[in-house]
Amino acid sequence: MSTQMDNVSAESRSLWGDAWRRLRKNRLALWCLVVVVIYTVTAFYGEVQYRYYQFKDEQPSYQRPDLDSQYLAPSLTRVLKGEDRAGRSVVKELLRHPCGTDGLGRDVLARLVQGTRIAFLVGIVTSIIAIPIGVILGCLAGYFGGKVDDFIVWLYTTMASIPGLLFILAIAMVVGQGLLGVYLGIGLTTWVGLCRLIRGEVIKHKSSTYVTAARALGLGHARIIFRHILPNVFHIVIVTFTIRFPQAISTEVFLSFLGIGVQGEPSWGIMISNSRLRLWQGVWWEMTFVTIAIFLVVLAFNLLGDALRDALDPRLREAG
Amino acid sequence: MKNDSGSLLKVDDLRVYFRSYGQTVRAVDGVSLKVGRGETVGLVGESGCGKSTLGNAILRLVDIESGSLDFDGTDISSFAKRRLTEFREKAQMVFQDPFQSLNPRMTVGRAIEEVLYVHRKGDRMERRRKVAQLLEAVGLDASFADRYPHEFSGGQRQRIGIARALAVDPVLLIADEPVSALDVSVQVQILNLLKDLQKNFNLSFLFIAHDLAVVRYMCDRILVMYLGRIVEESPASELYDCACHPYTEALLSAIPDVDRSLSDKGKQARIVLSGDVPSPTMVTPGCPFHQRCHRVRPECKTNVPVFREISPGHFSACHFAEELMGKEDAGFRIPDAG
Repeated sequence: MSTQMDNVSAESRSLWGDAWRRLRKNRLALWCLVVVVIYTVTAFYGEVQYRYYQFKDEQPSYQRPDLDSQYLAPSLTRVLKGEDRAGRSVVKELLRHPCGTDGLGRDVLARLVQGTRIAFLVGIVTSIIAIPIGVILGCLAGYFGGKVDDFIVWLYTTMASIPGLLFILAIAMVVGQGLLGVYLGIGLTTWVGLCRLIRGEVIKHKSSTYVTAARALGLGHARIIFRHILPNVFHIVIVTFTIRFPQAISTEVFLSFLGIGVQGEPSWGIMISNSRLRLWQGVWWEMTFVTIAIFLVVLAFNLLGDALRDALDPRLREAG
Repeated sequence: MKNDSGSLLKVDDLRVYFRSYGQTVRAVDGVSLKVGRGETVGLVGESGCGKSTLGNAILRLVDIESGSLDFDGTDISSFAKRRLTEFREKAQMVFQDPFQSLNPRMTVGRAIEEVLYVHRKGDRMERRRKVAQLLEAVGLDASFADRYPHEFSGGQRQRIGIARALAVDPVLLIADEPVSALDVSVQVQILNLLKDLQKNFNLSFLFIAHDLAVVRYMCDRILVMYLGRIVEESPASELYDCACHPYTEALLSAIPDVDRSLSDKGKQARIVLSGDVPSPTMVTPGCPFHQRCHRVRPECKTNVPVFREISPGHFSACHFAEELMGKEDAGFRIPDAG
């Protein structure tokens, strides 16, 4: 009997460990991860800054109008007293506006940082609302089947049949303008896709032998669903999170652009909305930097999501 | 096992029907059986005859249509789902596919410990110790507890599955084709392990298989199942020499035998059953086997044969079981397992 014991490697490897190893091999995914980390740090910095001004109870610098420095092009310095071109005696003021200023003379970079903070808040809070709804309903529908399944399928089909944006607008209107409306609007509408995926996977896993074994061993339903099946379908949650995150951000931008989103805080949508007014006069920087910021974060999250899906579920790539 | 008091499990007229789209699949259609203490009962039959469903039904993993399940003097067929937890401490199952019966995201140790936890056996330290004991009892190293199932071979995983089933100290183990997914050399190891464990843990077995050689090696008594019904029951020693049901004859003749060469016409040639198994959604009039039987006679098509005792401990559901009992050509030699 002891002949059974040889060919086991010395180090134990979990499936998550394997996935991380596969992800590490993907250069592009690692760069995306770096980008995401940079954004996260930025958002965190923005949050600290926001809290600081709240604590001091004064108007934040990124909101304070400075009419002397309206529409400054991106530069680090500004010439205060003249005579240059071999005329010497130049006094330069250190400005630190690497991304220029907007129509009220506010630093675009500082506002971008705050925009990042808001984007991440929206991405995270809507995920906190949507993912548990999708996961729990999906698990219940898939595991119990029958009437429970019928009801949940009916519920999400109904949700899916309403045009998403209209629903978000309706909720945002009811709750009122501001971030709460955005959170609820996006959070309560975007769980459908995840719920469907989870339901399908749970149905697949429910009939597998390890679940039958768990039942035969006398484990309860809750334990089987959340300790046995859920870890096996959890990669879907992670992938869905990375893919829905940029979607939530874009939706927030759109809502803020329309003026139903964030009020009194510099969200990316508001910045785009403001900057379009002077774009034709050559004030290109605000629009440019905001779009680059959005573009990068959306791209990084999407590529990372794809890479994560490949790493967490290698069968998908082989099949595709 | 004639004395009822000695039997651990008594199944009486058990029926399991699956309904879908207006059709009823009679997966198990009136099965009665007994498993005595310390006994190993084999259950054989071809794919789709309801063996596994019967095993699942005994553990109440599928819903029962009718019939009674008596386990150790308690009627478990009417147990509410909640009370089944107690029953599942006493009866456990080993599954066919060792690659699928273990949760891939759980270490082996956690999988076994969880069972102990759910059944409230001991505190953390005691559970850890028990896990190590169980792993050693099935011939694995106690240090394997921290590993994941995908790191093990099929035979090792089956040992883990057995260890997990033994965690609750069961008295009855239903083994649903425990070796059919394994290599032949590993099969013997697992069979020997099961035999050893039976002695050490004082287990009763219901051993489901389609491999007659395996069943002969393991079992005291054999039940032959066809289309949801038991068609023959016999002590293991007797069945292979004296099959009293044409279906069993056909099964036995399908065992490859090196002694029986192609030109050897003197001995019984292989019986090839014609046709498919009738759909279990239909009720076949007469004997359920008559469409495929090589000994079919007119009365088989109309009269349902009675399952009756034809010699001590040997039951058959064939109209002509007594004739088959005395026949000369019924003997098939089969190679011993291993």
